Amino acid sequence: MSIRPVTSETLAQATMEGAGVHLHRAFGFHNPEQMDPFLLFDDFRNDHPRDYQRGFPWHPHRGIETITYVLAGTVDHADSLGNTGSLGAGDVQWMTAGSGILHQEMPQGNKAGQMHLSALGQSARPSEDDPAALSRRDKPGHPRNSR
Amino acid sequence: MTQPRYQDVTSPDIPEIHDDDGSVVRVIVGSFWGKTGPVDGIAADPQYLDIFVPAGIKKTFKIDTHRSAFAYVFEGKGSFRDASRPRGVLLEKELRGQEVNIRDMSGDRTLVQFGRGDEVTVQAGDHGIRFLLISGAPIREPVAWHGPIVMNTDAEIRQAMADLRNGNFIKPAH
Repeated sequence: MSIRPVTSETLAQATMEGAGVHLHRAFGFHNPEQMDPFLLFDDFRNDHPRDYQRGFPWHPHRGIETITYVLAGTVDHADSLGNTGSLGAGDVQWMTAGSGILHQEMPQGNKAGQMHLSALGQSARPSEDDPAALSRRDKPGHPRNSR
Repeated sequence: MTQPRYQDVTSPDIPEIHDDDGSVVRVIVGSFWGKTGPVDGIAADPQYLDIFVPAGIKKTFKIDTHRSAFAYVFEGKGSFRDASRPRGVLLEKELRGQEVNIRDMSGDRTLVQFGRGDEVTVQAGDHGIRFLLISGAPIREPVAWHGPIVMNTDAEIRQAMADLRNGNFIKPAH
């Protein structure tokens, strides 16, 4: 039994994504090995529709998995697999981009104008039944073989 | 590469555990305290918990040693530092008979990263604390990243961009 030490404490930084959505990024886009397997964590908590309503129109993803966890408000989504739906407070959505997906996420907020959610992105392991992935993994010197 | 996949889970299907001390844990992904979250079949076997710890309560949460782990605070305050291993000069006060290190309190929008060990400890501040506790097994693969595209090599990124331009980004299901 050993308690994990705190190695760093940092505040999420304000930034913009999508078609002008204000958000706070806890980490992302640098040092992917530091948080492996996690790549990015965004905190979208806005109380002003103008800061989020332009949303995330159609965009591609490949090779990443994302978890979206809604705390308040609703998000309408649609994707190239034909899924459409709406996520509400307390709901979670997992998306595996795999070989490629196009999707859009449009925040609608709640009656008070709030839209609160968090988004986590992580590396996706290649499929076990993918011959190319298997051969890559068996290659000497591949990081996975030196574990 | 694996097929794209989408999984929506509505709130009532997410297990919520209420402990006797008033702590509440929602198990979004993974297993915790005997409950398993509804999202499955995910690479890196992640654990994603939404945790509330009431004012003055100290809790520990087990996390397998091999996992990368972080917490993200979004309500209240608390300390994730192990009081038995203080660092530097401490500023302390007493809260419900327990000493609390004020300087080490983490509040809204704080990312807390953890080193090696098999548990995470949190001492809630005087309004309690709500945070996400997230961990996963490292994949240890090279990462090449361009916006929403994440691959192992730059060549794969160039291929993805070419696929987008040429209209064959979406692969037929096999």
